[in-house]
Amino acid sequence: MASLKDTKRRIQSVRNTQKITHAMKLVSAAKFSRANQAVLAARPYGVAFDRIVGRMAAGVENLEGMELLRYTEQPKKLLAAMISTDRGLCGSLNTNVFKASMRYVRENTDQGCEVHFAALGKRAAQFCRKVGFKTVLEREKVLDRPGYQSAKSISDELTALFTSGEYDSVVLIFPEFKSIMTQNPRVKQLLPVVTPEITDEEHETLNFIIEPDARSVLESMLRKHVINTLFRALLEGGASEHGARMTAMDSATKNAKEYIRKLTLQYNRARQASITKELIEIVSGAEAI
Amino acid sequence: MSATLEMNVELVSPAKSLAKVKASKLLVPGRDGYLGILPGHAALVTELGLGELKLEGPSIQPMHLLVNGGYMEVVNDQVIVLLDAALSKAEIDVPRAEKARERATERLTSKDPVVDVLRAQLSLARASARIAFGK
Repeated sequence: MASLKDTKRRIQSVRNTQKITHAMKLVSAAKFSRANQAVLAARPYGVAFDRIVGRMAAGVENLEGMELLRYTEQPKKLLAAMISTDRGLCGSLNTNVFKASMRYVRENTDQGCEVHFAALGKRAAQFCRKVGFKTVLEREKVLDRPGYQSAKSISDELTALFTSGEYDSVVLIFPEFKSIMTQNPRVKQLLPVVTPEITDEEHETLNFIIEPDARSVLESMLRKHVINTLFRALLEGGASEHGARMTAMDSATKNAKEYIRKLTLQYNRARQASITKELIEIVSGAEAI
Repeated sequence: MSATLEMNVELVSPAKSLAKVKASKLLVPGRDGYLGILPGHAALVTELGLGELKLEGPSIQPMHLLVNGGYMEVVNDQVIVLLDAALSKAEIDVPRAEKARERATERLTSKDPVVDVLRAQLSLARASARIAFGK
Protein backbone atom coordinates (compact mmCIF):
# COMPACT_ATOMS: atom_id res chain seq x y z
CA MET A 1 0.00 0.00 0.00
CA ALA A 2 1.31 3.39 -1.04
CA SER A 3 2.03 5.76 1.78
CA LEU A 4 -0.15 8.78 2.44
CA LYS A 5 2.43 11.13 1.07
CA ASP A 6 2.82 9.14 -2.16
CA THR A 7 -0.89 9.11 -2.78
CA LYS A 8 -1.09 12.81 -2.18
CA ARG A 9 1.70 13.42 -4.66
CA ARG A 10 -0.02 11.32 -7.28
CA ILE A 11 -3.28 13.19 -6.87
CA GLN A 12 -1.45 16.44 -7.43
CA SER A 13 0.27 15.08 -10.51
CA VAL A 14 -2.96 13.85 -12.05
CA ARG A 15 -4.54 17.19 -11.27
CA ASN A 16 -1.77 18.98 -13.16
CA THR A 17 -2.24 16.71 -16.14
CA GLN A 18 -5.94 17.39 -16.05
CA LYS A 19 -5.29 21.12 -16.20
CA ILE A 20 -3.17 20.64 -19.30
CA THR A 21 -5.64 18.41 -21.09
CA HIS A 22 -8.44 20.80 -20.25
CA ALA A 23 -6.50 23.75 -21.65
CA MET A 24 -5.68 21.75 -24.78
CA LYS A 25 -9.31 20.97 -25.24
CA LEU A 26 -10.21 24.65 -25.12
CA VAL A 27 -7.49 25.55 -27.59
CA SER A 28 -8.61 22.80 -29.94
CA ALA A 29 -12.19 23.93 -29.68
CA ALA A 30 -11.21 27.41 -30.83
CA LYS A 31 -9.04 26.05 -33.64
CA PHE A 32 -11.74 23.63 -34.62
CA SER A 33 -14.36 26.30 -35.07
CA ARG A 34 -11.99 28.19 -37.35
CA ALA A 35 -11.15 25.07 -39.34
CA ASN A 36 -14.80 24.19 -39.64
CA GLN A 37 -15.59 27.68 -40.90
CA ALA A 38 -12.94 27.22 -43.57
CA VAL A 39 -14.47 23.91 -44.67
CA LEU A 40 -17.89 25.48 -44.93
CA ALA A 41 -16.59 28.56 -46.72
CA ALA A 42 -14.89 26.44 -49.35
CA ARG A 43 -18.01 24.43 -50.09
CA PRO A 44 -19.84 26.80 -52.52
CA TYR A 45 -16.75 27.01 -54.70
CA GLY A 46 -16.25 23.26 -54.67
CA VAL A 47 -19.84 22.50 -55.54
CA ALA A 48 -20.01 25.04 -58.36
CA PHE A 49 -16.64 23.94 -59.68
CA ASP A 50 -17.53 20.25 -59.73
CA ARG A 51 -20.68 20.99 -61.67
CA ILE A 52 -18.90 23.04 -64.29
CA VAL A 53 -16.12 20.47 -64.73
CA GLY A 54 -18.71 17.71 -65.03
CA ARG A 55 -20.61 19.60 -67.69
CA MET A 56 -17.49 20.52 -69.58
CA ALA A 57 -16.18 16.98 -69.57
CA ALA A 58 -19.54 15.70 -70.77
CA GLY A 59 -19.62 18.37 -73.46
CA VAL A 60 -16.17 17.91 -74.91
CA GLU A 61 -16.39 15.30 -77.63
CA ASN A 62 -12.92 14.02 -77.74
CA LEU A 63 -11.26 13.39 -74.40
CA GLU A 64 -8.46 11.36 -75.93
CA GLY A 65 -4.98 12.46 -75.16
CA MET A 66 -5.80 14.62 -72.16
CA GLU A 67 -2.86 13.87 -69.98
CA LEU A 68 -4.69 14.28 -66.67
CA LEU A 69 -7.27 11.72 -67.80
CA ARG A 70 -4.70 9.13 -68.85
CA TYR A 71 -6.22 5.94 -67.60
CA THR A 72 -4.08 2.83 -67.32
CA GLU A 73 -5.87 -0.48 -67.58
CA GLN A 74 -3.41 -2.32 -65.41
CA PRO A 75 -1.58 0.17 -63.26
CA LYS A 76 1.88 -0.84 -62.17
CA LYS A 77 3.09 2.03 -60.07
CA LEU A 78 0.83 3.88 -57.66
CA LEU A 79 1.38 6.93 -55.57
CA ALA A 80 -0.57 7.45 -52.37
CA ALA A 81 -0.60 10.89 -50.78
CA MET A 82 -1.27 10.39 -47.11
CA ILE A 83 -2.47 13.29 -45.00
CA SER A 84 -1.74 13.22 -41.30
CA THR A 85 -1.27 15.62 -38.43
CA ASP A 86 2.10 16.86 -37.21
CA ARG A 87 1.38 16.23 -33.58
CA GLY A 88 -0.18 13.39 -31.66
CA LEU A 89 -2.72 13.61 -28.89
CA CYS A 90 -5.60 13.35 -31.28
CA GLY A 91 -6.93 9.90 -30.52
CA SER A 92 -6.97 7.34 -33.28
CA LEU A 93 -7.08 9.84 -36.11
CA ASN A 94 -3.66 9.11 -37.56
CA THR A 95 -3.76 5.42 -36.72
CA ASN A 96 -6.93 5.07 -38.76
CA VAL A 97 -5.34 6.76 -41.74
CA PHE A 98 -2.29 4.51 -41.37
CA LYS A 99 -4.47 1.44 -41.22
CA ALA A 100 -6.29 2.54 -44.36
CA SER A 101 -3.00 3.01 -46.16
CA MET A 102 -1.74 -0.40 -44.99
CA ARG A 103 -4.89 -1.90 -46.41
CA TYR A 104 -4.43 0.03 -49.65
CA VAL A 105 -0.86 -1.20 -49.96
CA ARG A 106 -1.84 -4.80 -49.22
CA GLU A 107 -4.68 -4.82 -51.73
CA ASN A 108 -2.54 -3.37 -54.48
CA THR A 109 0.61 -5.35 -53.92
CA ASP A 110 -1.58 -8.45 -54.25
CA GLN A 111 -2.41 -7.17 -57.73
CA GLY A 112 1.28 -6.83 -58.45
CA CYS A 113 1.48 -3.06 -58.10
CA GLU A 114 4.12 -1.04 -56.44
CA VAL A 115 2.91 1.66 -54.06
CA HIS A 116 4.95 4.69 -53.12
CA PHE A 117 3.96 7.44 -50.74
CA ALA A 118 3.80 11.17 -50.47
CA ALA A 119 3.78 11.90 -46.75
CA LEU A 120 1.86 15.07 -46.01
CA GLY A 121 2.36 15.63 -42.30
CA LYS A 122 5.08 14.72 -39.85
CA ARG A 123 3.31 11.66 -38.48
CA ALA A 124 2.81 10.23 -41.94
CA ALA A 125 6.52 10.62 -42.66
CA GLN A 126 7.43 8.91 -39.39
CA PHE A 127 5.01 6.11 -40.10
CA CYS A 128 6.40 5.50 -43.59
CA ARG A 129 9.92 5.35 -42.19
CA LYS A 130 8.86 2.92 -39.48
CA VAL A 131 7.09 0.42 -41.72
CA GLY A 132 9.46 0.93 -44.65
CA PHE A 133 7.16 2.52 -47.22
CA LYS A 134 9.07 4.47 -49.80
CA THR A 135 8.28 8.18 -49.85
CA VAL A 136 8.88 10.45 -52.81
CA LEU A 137 7.62 13.63 -51.19
CA GLU A 138 7.49 14.75 -47.59
CA ARG A 139 5.82 17.83 -46.28
CA GLU A 140 5.10 19.13 -42.81
CA LYS A 141 2.59 21.54 -41.36
CA VAL A 142 0.12 20.93 -44.16
CA LEU A 143 -2.88 21.01 -41.85
CA ASP A 144 -1.82 24.18 -40.12
CA ARG A 145 -4.31 26.64 -41.65
CA PRO A 146 -4.08 25.14 -45.11
CA GLY A 147 -3.98 27.75 -47.85
CA TYR A 148 -4.81 27.47 -51.49
CA GLN A 149 -1.22 28.24 -52.39
CA SER A 150 0.23 25.35 -50.41
CA ALA A 151 -2.39 23.02 -51.89
CA LYS A 152 -1.34 24.25 -55.31
CA SER A 153 2.36 23.61 -54.76
CA ILE A 154 1.77 20.08 -53.45
CA SER A 155 -0.69 19.34 -56.20
CA ASP A 156 1.71 20.61 -58.87
CA GLU A 157 4.33 18.18 -57.65
CA LEU A 158 1.90 15.26 -57.57
CA THR A 159 0.59 16.15 -61.01
CA ALA A 160 4.11 16.34 -62.40
CA LEU A 161 4.86 12.85 -61.06
CA PHE A 162 1.75 11.60 -62.81
CA THR A 163 2.16 13.36 -66.14
CA SER A 164 5.80 12.35 -66.41
CA GLY A 165 4.52 8.80 -66.49
CA GLU A 166 6.32 7.85 -63.31
CA TYR A 167 3.06 6.79 -61.67
CA ASP A 168 -0.09 5.39 -63.23
CA SER A 169 -2.42 6.64 -60.58
CA VAL A 170 -2.40 8.97 -57.60
CA VAL A 171 -4.73 8.57 -54.64
CA LEU A 172 -5.31 10.65 -51.55
CA ILE A 173 -5.69 9.03 -48.15
CA PHE A 174 -7.06 11.47 -45.62
CA PRO A 175 -9.32 11.66 -42.58
CA GLU A 176 -12.69 12.72 -43.87
CA PHE A 177 -14.51 14.96 -41.48
CA LYS A 178 -17.95 13.69 -40.50
CA SER A 179 -18.42 15.24 -37.10
CA ILE A 180 -16.41 16.06 -34.01
CA MET A 181 -16.84 12.47 -32.89
CA THR A 182 -16.21 10.67 -36.16
CA GLN A 183 -13.56 11.08 -38.79
CA ASN A 184 -13.31 8.29 -41.29
CA PRO A 185 -10.20 7.56 -43.29
CA ARG A 186 -11.01 7.89 -46.94
CA VAL A 187 -9.19 6.83 -50.07
CA LYS A 188 -9.95 9.13 -52.97
CA GLN A 189 -8.59 8.98 -56.48
CA LEU A 190 -6.82 12.16 -57.46
CA LEU A 191 -5.30 11.21 -60.80
CA PRO A 192 -6.33 10.29 -63.41
CA VAL A 193 -9.12 12.76 -62.75
CA VAL A 194 -12.52 11.25 -62.19
CA THR A 195 -14.85 13.80 -63.72
CA PRO A 196 -17.90 14.55 -61.59
CA GLU A 197 -21.19 13.03 -62.73
CA ILE A 198 -23.89 15.37 -63.91
CA THR A 199 -27.65 15.02 -63.87
CA ASP A 200 -29.79 14.63 -67.00
CA GLU A 201 -31.29 18.01 -66.39
CA GLU A 202 -27.89 19.61 -66.59
CA HIS A 203 -27.23 17.65 -69.76
CA GLU A 204 -29.84 19.67 -71.56
CA THR A 205 -27.94 22.89 -71.21
CA LEU A 206 -24.81 21.64 -72.86
CA ASN A 207 -24.74 24.06 -75.76
CA PHE A 208 -22.05 26.39 -74.65
CA ILE A 209 -19.98 29.01 -76.21
CA ILE A 210 -16.58 28.23 -74.84
CA GLU A 211 -13.80 30.76 -74.74
CA PRO A 212 -11.02 30.35 -75.83
CA ASP A 213 -11.74 26.72 -76.78
CA ALA A 214 -13.22 23.72 -75.04
CA ARG A 215 -10.13 21.61 -74.92
CA SER A 216 -7.77 24.12 -73.43
CA VAL A 217 -10.36 25.30 -70.92
CA LEU A 218 -10.99 21.73 -69.85
CA GLU A 219 -7.28 21.03 -69.56
CA SER A 220 -6.76 23.92 -67.22
CA MET A 221 -9.94 23.09 -65.33
CA LEU A 222 -8.80 19.54 -64.69
CA ARG A 223 -5.54 20.83 -63.33
CA LYS A 224 -7.45 23.12 -61.03
CA HIS A 225 -9.78 20.31 -60.10
CA VAL A 226 -6.83 18.38 -58.71
CA ILE A 227 -5.70 21.38 -56.68
CA ASN A 228 -9.20 21.92 -55.45
CA THR A 229 -9.66 18.30 -54.42
CA LEU A 230 -6.43 18.40 -52.48
CA PHE A 231 -7.29 21.75 -50.94
CA ARG A 232 -10.59 20.43 -49.68
CA ALA A 233 -8.96 17.29 -48.32
CA LEU A 234 -6.49 19.48 -46.42
CA LEU A 235 -9.28 21.61 -45.01
CA GLU A 236 -11.16 18.53 -43.94
CA GLY A 237 -8.00 17.09 -42.46
CA GLY A 238 -7.55 20.26 -40.45
CA ALA A 239 -11.08 20.15 -39.13
CA SER A 240 -10.66 16.45 -38.36
CA GLU A 241 -7.44 17.05 -36.47
CA HIS A 242 -8.88 19.67 -34.17
CA GLY A 243 -12.16 17.83 -33.79
CA ALA A 244 -10.36 14.61 -32.87
CA ARG A 245 -8.04 16.39 -30.48
CA MET A 246 -10.98 18.06 -28.81
CA THR A 247 -12.69 14.72 -28.25
CA ALA A 248 -9.49 13.05 -27.12
CA MET A 249 -8.66 15.81 -24.64
CA ASP A 250 -12.20 15.86 -23.35
CA SER A 251 -12.12 12.18 -22.54
CA ALA A 252 -8.64 12.56 -21.05
CA THR A 253 -9.97 15.28 -18.76
CA LYS A 254 -12.88 13.10 -17.74
CA ASN A 255 -10.55 10.20 -17.15
CA ALA A 256 -8.33 12.32 -14.95
CA LYS A 257 -11.34 13.40 -12.93
CA GLU A 258 -12.35 9.81 -12.36
CA TYR A 259 -8.81 8.89 -11.42
CA ILE A 260 -8.58 11.73 -8.93
CA ARG A 261 -11.80 10.53 -7.35
CA LYS A 262 -10.39 7.04 -6.93
CA LEU A 263 -7.11 8.27 -5.56
CA THR A 264 -8.84 10.60 -3.12
CA LEU A 265 -10.89 7.71 -1.84
CA GLN A 266 -7.76 5.65 -1.43
CA TYR A 267 -6.06 8.55 0.31
CA ASN A 268 -8.92 9.01 2.76
CA ARG A 269 -9.05 5.31 3.51
CA ALA A 270 -5.37 5.21 4.17
CA ARG A 271 -5.60 8.25 6.41
CA GLN A 272 -8.49 6.73 8.36
CA ALA A 273 -6.62 3.46 8.67
CA SER A 274 -3.58 5.18 10.10
CA ILE A 275 -5.72 7.09 12.63
CA THR A 276 -7.44 3.88 13.69
CA LYS A 277 -4.09 2.19 14.00
CA GLU A 278 -2.71 4.94 16.20
CA LEU A 279 -5.81 4.85 18.39
CA ILE A 280 -5.51 1.10 18.85
CA GLU A 281 -1.88 1.54 19.80
CA ILE A 282 -2.73 4.19 22.38
CA VAL A 283 -5.62 2.22 23.82
CA SER A 284 -3.72 -1.00 24.06
CA GLY A 285 -0.78 0.90 25.55
CA ALA A 286 -3.06 2.35 28.18
CA GLU A 287 -4.57 -1.06 28.92
CA ALA A 288 -1.14 -2.56 29.41
CA ILE A 289 -0.32 -0.18 32.23
CA MET B 1 -39.75 41.44 -71.92
CA SER B 2 -39.90 42.66 -68.37
CA ALA B 3 -38.75 46.15 -67.59
CA THR B 4 -35.96 45.23 -65.21
CA LEU B 5 -33.62 42.72 -66.69
CA GLU B 6 -31.50 41.06 -64.08
CA MET B 7 -29.41 37.97 -63.73
CA ASN B 8 -28.25 36.02 -60.71
CA VAL B 9 -24.58 36.42 -60.17
CA GLU B 10 -22.52 34.36 -57.76
CA LEU B 11 -18.91 35.21 -57.06
CA VAL B 12 -16.97 32.55 -55.19
CA SER B 13 -13.32 31.98 -54.38
CA PRO B 14 -11.82 28.83 -52.84
CA ALA B 15 -11.66 30.50 -49.46
CA LYS B 16 -15.10 32.07 -49.36
CA SER B 17 -18.25 33.11 -51.10
CA LEU B 18 -17.91 36.75 -52.11
CA ALA B 19 -21.33 37.65 -53.39
CA LYS B 20 -24.65 36.20 -54.43
CA VAL B 21 -26.71 39.00 -55.92
CA LYS B 22 -29.01 40.08 -58.69
CA ALA B 23 -27.20 42.29 -61.15
CA SER B 24 -27.79 43.88 -64.52
CA LYS B 25 -24.26 44.20 -65.80
CA LEU B 26 -21.06 42.26 -65.32
CA LEU B 27 -17.65 42.93 -66.77
CA VAL B 28 -14.96 40.28 -66.41
CA PRO B 29 -11.42 39.90 -67.71
CA GLY B 30 -11.42 36.89 -70.01
CA ARG B 31 -8.12 35.24 -70.79
CA ASP B 32 -8.05 36.94 -74.16
CA GLY B 33 -9.76 40.21 -73.30
CA TYR B 34 -12.66 41.69 -71.41
CA LEU B 35 -16.15 40.28 -71.65
CA GLY B 36 -19.34 42.11 -70.84
CA ILE B 37 -22.25 40.02 -69.66
CA LEU B 38 -25.80 41.34 -69.74
CA PRO B 39 -29.02 39.53 -68.92
CA GLY B 40 -30.05 37.16 -71.68
CA HIS B 41 -26.49 36.23 -72.61
CA ALA B 42 -25.98 32.94 -74.43
CA ALA B 43 -24.61 30.00 -72.47
CA LEU B 44 -20.90 30.49 -72.05
CA VAL B 45 -17.95 29.01 -70.25
CA THR B 46 -14.73 30.91 -70.18
CA GLU B 47 -11.41 31.10 -68.49
CA LEU B 48 -10.52 34.33 -66.74
CA GLY B 49 -7.31 36.26 -66.83
CA LEU B 50 -5.84 39.12 -64.87
CA GLY B 51 -7.85 42.31 -64.61
CA GLU B 52 -10.76 44.15 -63.11
CA LEU B 53 -14.17 42.74 -62.50
CA LYS B 54 -17.12 45.10 -62.32
CA LEU B 55 -20.57 44.20 -61.20
CA GLU B 56 -23.51 46.62 -61.31
CA GLY B 57 -27.21 46.49 -60.78
CA PRO B 58 -30.12 48.66 -59.72
CA SER B 59 -30.47 46.93 -56.37
CA ILE B 60 -26.84 46.52 -55.36
CA GLN B 61 -23.76 48.49 -54.50
CA PRO B 62 -21.46 48.31 -57.52
CA MET B 63 -18.62 45.85 -56.91
CA HIS B 64 -15.16 46.40 -58.17
CA LEU B 65 -12.51 43.72 -57.75
CA LEU B 66 -9.09 42.90 -59.05
CA VAL B 67 -9.07 39.26 -60.06
CA ASN B 68 -6.47 36.85 -61.32
CA GLY B 69 -7.52 33.63 -62.95
CA GLY B 70 -10.63 31.53 -62.62
CA TYR B 71 -13.65 30.54 -64.64
CA MET B 72 -17.06 31.89 -65.44
CA GLU B 73 -20.17 30.04 -66.44
CA VAL B 74 -23.30 31.68 -67.81
CA VAL B 75 -26.44 29.57 -68.21
CA ASN B 76 -29.97 30.99 -68.40
CA ASP B 77 -29.07 34.18 -66.59
CA GLN B 78 -27.36 32.24 -63.83
CA VAL B 79 -23.79 33.44 -63.69
CA ILE B 80 -21.19 31.72 -61.60
CA VAL B 81 -17.77 33.27 -61.39
CA LEU B 82 -15.11 31.09 -59.81
CA LEU B 83 -12.23 33.28 -58.81
CA ASP B 84 -8.78 32.02 -57.89
CA ALA B 85 -7.85 35.32 -56.35
CA ALA B 86 -9.84 38.46 -55.77
CA LEU B 87 -8.91 41.69 -54.06
CA SER B 88 -10.98 44.75 -53.35
CA LYS B 89 -9.48 48.20 -53.49
CA ALA B 90 -9.14 48.37 -49.73
CA GLU B 91 -7.20 45.12 -49.59
CA ILE B 92 -4.46 46.25 -51.94
CA ASP B 93 -1.19 47.24 -50.40
CA VAL B 94 0.24 49.69 -52.92
CA PRO B 95 3.73 50.07 -51.38
CA ARG B 96 4.09 46.29 -51.31
CA ALA B 97 2.97 46.03 -54.91
CA GLU B 98 5.49 48.70 -55.86
CA LYS B 99 8.26 46.75 -54.20
CA ALA B 100 7.15 43.63 -56.04
CA ARG B 101 7.22 45.55 -59.29
CA GLU B 102 10.73 46.79 -58.60
CA ARG B 103 11.92 43.28 -57.84
CA ALA B 104 10.34 41.89 -60.99
CA THR B 105 11.79 44.67 -63.14
CA GLU B 106 15.18 44.07 -61.60
CA ARG B 107 15.02 40.38 -62.38
CA LEU B 108 13.96 41.07 -65.95
CA THR B 109 16.67 43.62 -66.64
CA SER B 110 19.46 41.60 -65.06
CA LYS B 111 21.37 39.42 -67.46
CA ASP B 112 21.42 36.56 -65.00
CA PRO B 113 20.70 33.32 -66.89
CA VAL B 114 18.97 31.65 -63.92
CA VAL B 115 16.10 34.18 -63.99
CA ASP B 116 12.80 32.57 -64.80
CA VAL B 117 11.67 35.12 -67.35
CA LEU B 118 8.09 33.95 -67.60
CA ARG B 119 7.64 34.01 -63.86
CA ALA B 120 9.17 37.46 -63.57
CA GLN B 121 6.94 38.75 -66.36
CA LEU B 122 3.87 37.34 -64.66
CA SER B 123 4.75 38.85 -61.32
CA LEU B 124 5.46 42.16 -63.04
CA ALA B 125 2.03 42.04 -64.67
CA ARG B 126 0.40 41.20 -61.35
CA ALA B 127 2.19 43.96 -59.49
CA SER B 128 1.42 46.55 -62.16
CA ALA B 129 -2.24 45.58 -62.14
CA ARG B 130 -2.34 45.89 -58.36
CA ILE B 131 -0.78 49.33 -58.46
CA ALA B 132 -3.04 50.59 -61.23
CA PHE B 133 -6.09 49.23 -59.43
CA GLY B 134 -5.13 50.38 -55.96
CA LYS B 135 -4.48 54.00 -56.90
